Amino acid sequence: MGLMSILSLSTAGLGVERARLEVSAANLANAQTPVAAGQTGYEPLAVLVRSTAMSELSGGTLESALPRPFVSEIVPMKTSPRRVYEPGHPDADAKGYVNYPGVDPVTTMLDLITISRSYEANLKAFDITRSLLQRTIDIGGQA
Amino acid sequence: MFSIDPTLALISRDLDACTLRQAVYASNVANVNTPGYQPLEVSFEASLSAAARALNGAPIDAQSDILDSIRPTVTPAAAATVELDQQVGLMAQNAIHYETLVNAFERSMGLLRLAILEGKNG
Repeated sequence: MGLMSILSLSTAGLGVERARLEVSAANLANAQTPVAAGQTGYEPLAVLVRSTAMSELSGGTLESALPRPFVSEIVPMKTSPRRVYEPGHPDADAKGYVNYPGVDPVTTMLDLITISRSYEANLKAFDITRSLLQRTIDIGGQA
Repeated sequence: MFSIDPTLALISRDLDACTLRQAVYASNVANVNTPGYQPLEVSFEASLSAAARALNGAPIDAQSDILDSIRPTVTPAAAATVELDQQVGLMAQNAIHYETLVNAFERSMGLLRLAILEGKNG
């Protein structure tokens, strides 16, 4: 079932992009959440994507041996908090600074664009494979 | 499998290669954001033309061995990164090739059917 395993390969790609989208959305959503002085608040997250090693052929088809992406881990990013001078803020520290999670809106938006494009490309791949499958099923149909 | 007709055997080999191509392009697209992923490609045409040269004048009983030697292989692509637009374009091109092959397959089957039915419309 060569074509079927290609569908699941594209589905794996879609899953990875969706996970990246979720994490980027969470980072953006929590970007303006102040962290009270002396406490730990939201830490921006990153998705670590890995792919399975190309396995040797052992009975299966070559299609099912191809590298398949998966979400290996979701880990906190190594960014320092964004410090904003807001002396009247209840969460401000002794010097009047409020800590916000170190989310960079520009890079996050850029990530969202590439995620969207990659998701579309995976969908397109899925669609093309589906049309090949359909065409194969139709062999001899008009006889 | 289709020892009855080498054309059908050739077409089904090429269909297999096309399916593998689609899989490889899908893998490249799916892994576009995987760090360290090496894009792959399929080489098939060289093995096909080598077999075509070997088939030329080969005795009938050697044909099936030559046909068996046609195998697509997956190799690392020259480029180190995946270009999404290129991969989707290649995929569309491959889909058209697949469509052509399926049509050729159906026509060859039609000829066989014609022979089986002695030219009468079944």
